[in-house]
Amino acid sequence: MSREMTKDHDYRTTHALAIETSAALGGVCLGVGGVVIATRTFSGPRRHATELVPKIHDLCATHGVAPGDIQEVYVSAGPGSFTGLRIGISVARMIALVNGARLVAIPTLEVIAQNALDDRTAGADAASGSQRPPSEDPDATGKATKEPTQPTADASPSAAVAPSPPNALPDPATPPPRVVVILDAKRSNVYAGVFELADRSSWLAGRYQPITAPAEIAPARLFASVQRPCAVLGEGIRQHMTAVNQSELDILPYSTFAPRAETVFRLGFEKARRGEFTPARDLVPHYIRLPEAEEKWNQKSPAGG
Amino acid sequence: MTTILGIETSCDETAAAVVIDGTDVRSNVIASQVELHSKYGGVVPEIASRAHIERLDAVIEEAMAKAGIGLGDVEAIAVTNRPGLAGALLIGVTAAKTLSWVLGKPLIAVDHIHAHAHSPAIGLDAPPWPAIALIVSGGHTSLYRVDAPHAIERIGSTLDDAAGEAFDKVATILNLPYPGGPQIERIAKRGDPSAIGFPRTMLGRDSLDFSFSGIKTAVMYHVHGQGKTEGGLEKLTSADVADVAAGFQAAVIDVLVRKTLRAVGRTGLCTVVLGGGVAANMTLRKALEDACTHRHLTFHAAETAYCTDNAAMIAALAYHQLARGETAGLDLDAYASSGKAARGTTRG
Repeated sequence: MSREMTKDHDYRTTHALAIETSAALGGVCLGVGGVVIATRTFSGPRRHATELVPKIHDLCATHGVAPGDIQEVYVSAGPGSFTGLRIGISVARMIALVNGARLVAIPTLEVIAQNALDDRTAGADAASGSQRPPSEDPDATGKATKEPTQPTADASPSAAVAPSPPNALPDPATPPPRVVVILDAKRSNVYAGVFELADRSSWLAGRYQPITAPAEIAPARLFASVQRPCAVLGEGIRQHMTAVNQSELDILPYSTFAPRAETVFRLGFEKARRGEFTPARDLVPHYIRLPEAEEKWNQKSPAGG
Repeated sequence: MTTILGIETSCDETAAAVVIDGTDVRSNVIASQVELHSKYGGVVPEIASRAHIERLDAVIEEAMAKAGIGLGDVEAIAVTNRPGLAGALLIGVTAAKTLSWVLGKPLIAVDHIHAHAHSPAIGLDAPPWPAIALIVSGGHTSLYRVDAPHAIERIGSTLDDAAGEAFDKVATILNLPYPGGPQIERIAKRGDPSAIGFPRTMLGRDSLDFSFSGIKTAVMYHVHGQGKTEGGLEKLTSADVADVAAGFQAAVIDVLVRKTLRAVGRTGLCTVVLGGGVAANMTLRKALEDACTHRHLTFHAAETAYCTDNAAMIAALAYHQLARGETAGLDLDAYASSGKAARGTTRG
């Protein structure tokens, strides 16, 4: 464990901010030495532009922390709302510019994945179908209207590894060993990441660790490739209910879908102690996708024009 | 002595500047994104926002270095918060709010167009007000009555295309590279401005508003053929193309000059100032100057460095706002348009 730690003798007094502005409802968290002091959640959805800096000011003023004391900033870097991500990252980069604060970019899907730990009993309820999120998927009716595009067992290499359902979790109180986090990427796709609960022997025990890089993918293809047992969470479930239902994965409750600033703080502090800082100039949102105009341009002139 | 850091990210220029007491420009750094947008023939908002977030801190650092001061020496932070591309504005606004909080210095929210209207005053020994200000750019074509830096009233504006937009569209018709304004001006030098009589849209006798869509359509039909939207360019010689560019430019400038003089006649003011990106067009500058001289009016054009979007004009106007105690809170938002009804135009 100590081998992986950076030589950082005064981290116990390090003041840090964690910023979460990737999703509709944002928040910010202040802590010292890896311990959360307080968190502020914005008053409503899409308030990042007007509320982020005032909440940071309020948090620091309330707890007697001067802006100059902020030595580290952990920021949820996407995928998510492009504008929201840029607001959070703009704040982080400016604090770095003035204070020389060190920045840590936290993958947003990894932040959401950790929610599977906090709500595992609720998750068991959801798995039984008692707590389905509101669906925005027009095809998400009880009976499928057309033949699903899900690949057959023969076509999916992972299907051979994982026996076909049941996808039953061993114990409702036990967190799922594997989760897939999805966000809607439009055009019938999702942004997705697959995570595994770290083994008890690992110093990362109690953390969901990524086993795939965040990517844009068709949900049916994604679900066919993940090893069971596995649970699914994230805002994308609402837009892709048909594919989610067909996957027969356990759905974690709606309350686990949103990324939380405290989790950004926890993950950020851990990554900071492992020395996983991002130079301010290199910290940009993890967009995954090119701007639409650029995609269209590339399609017109594949040589790169 | 008040040192203000200005920040501007309303469209496709990432800019920062240090200005002392509203007139002494110590640095004026602009990172242009023209090369990122040129292949699309216009500004792509998402590409602009991505470039702003990548470049803004380096641009601010360069502005501080060129001014020879540190962020700790800055006494206020000024930022464009309207009008412009909402997503692009938010990057500058968020950065400025953060700097204001960390440095403990006041924040000043500046209207981009008001800053353009004020820009001809930068570097003058005495303020030119009261004056009629003609602001011409890719996004705006407006006439203002400026009685003081805090008293800027719009008295006319375009009903459709901005003049700079018409230049860009005509450049596209003539298959000239983006941005079209400088290309039209370059080619027009070889052409005869009176060879083709493109229409001058003056609207009503008393109107101070502009309309450039008619001129643009006239050019389109002249090149492509009546009622057509493509083809025909291959039939024109390079001399023909030069005549089209010269005739179009002359028609636009004619309207701009006549409307400005109409505003002078209406208000009885004796000074005319010119600003905005299209004010870098030397033919326009000269035409308006000649018209003013002929009528014994005082004329000031913004220095070319302050014509395109820049942060020096933001910091310059902010000095006067600060003097009047017009500071903004950390909840400052960005607005796509200048009007008070603009609330809710941003997202994030």
